[in-house]
Amino acid sequence: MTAKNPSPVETVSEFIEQFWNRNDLECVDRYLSDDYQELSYQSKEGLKQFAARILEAFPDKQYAVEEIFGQGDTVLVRMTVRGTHRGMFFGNAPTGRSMEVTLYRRYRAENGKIAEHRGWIDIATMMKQIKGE
Amino acid sequence: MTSKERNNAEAVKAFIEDPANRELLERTEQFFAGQWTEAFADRRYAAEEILAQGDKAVARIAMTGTHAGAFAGIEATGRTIKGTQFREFRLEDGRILEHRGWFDTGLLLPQLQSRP
Repeated sequence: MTAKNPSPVETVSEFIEQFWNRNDLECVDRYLSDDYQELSYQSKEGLKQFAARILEAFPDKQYAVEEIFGQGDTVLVRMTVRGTHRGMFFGNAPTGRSMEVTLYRRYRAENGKIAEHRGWIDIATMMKQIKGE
Repeated sequence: MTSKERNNAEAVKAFIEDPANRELLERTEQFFAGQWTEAFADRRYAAEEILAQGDKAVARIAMTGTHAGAFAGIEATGRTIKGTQFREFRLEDGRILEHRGWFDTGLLLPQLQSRP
């Protein structure tokens, strides 16, 4: 008997925890398929670089999954990211201010591997918060 | 997908496509809510994907428009823009009880800021 594959929702939930919260950037090798399509950060490497940049800018960042929808192999997640601005963020020097911003990520996953990702975030609200406007 | 979820997805699709719901479809708790209708003219919305799960559903809605007024501190550029909205719904017996919408700005702002 073979072990049952995790559902797409389970796969995505685990990946978010490992990659975005525990900052285990190398876990992409376990969770992302060989033919992974990255539609927001260009590539697996681009995804890791972006995550490293966000971690430098907001070292205490944490993503809370607020809602997760799964239908077939598609998973859509609404999250809140919270963190303190302690490093350079796209040309903005650290302000020490905190941010709390909503984002959505859409994944396609099957057989325990994520095959596609695209993300959306409210950067206008984030910039307003870190600038203290 | 259960038949209830299929019905809910249909109800959400019909709600989004009904022109009478336009104002409801533009409500958001984001700080720029009051700027939206002046910042963007010729707004068109189309449901691109609807996921239904139990009593809930979420729609990914594509938007096109023209940047005709100030938005988040950026003056009008006259450019044609593409946007994305997510709207989450709670339903009962195929009726929408509540919904809340959220506009992406991560892909929107660069379209207003980039040099022509």
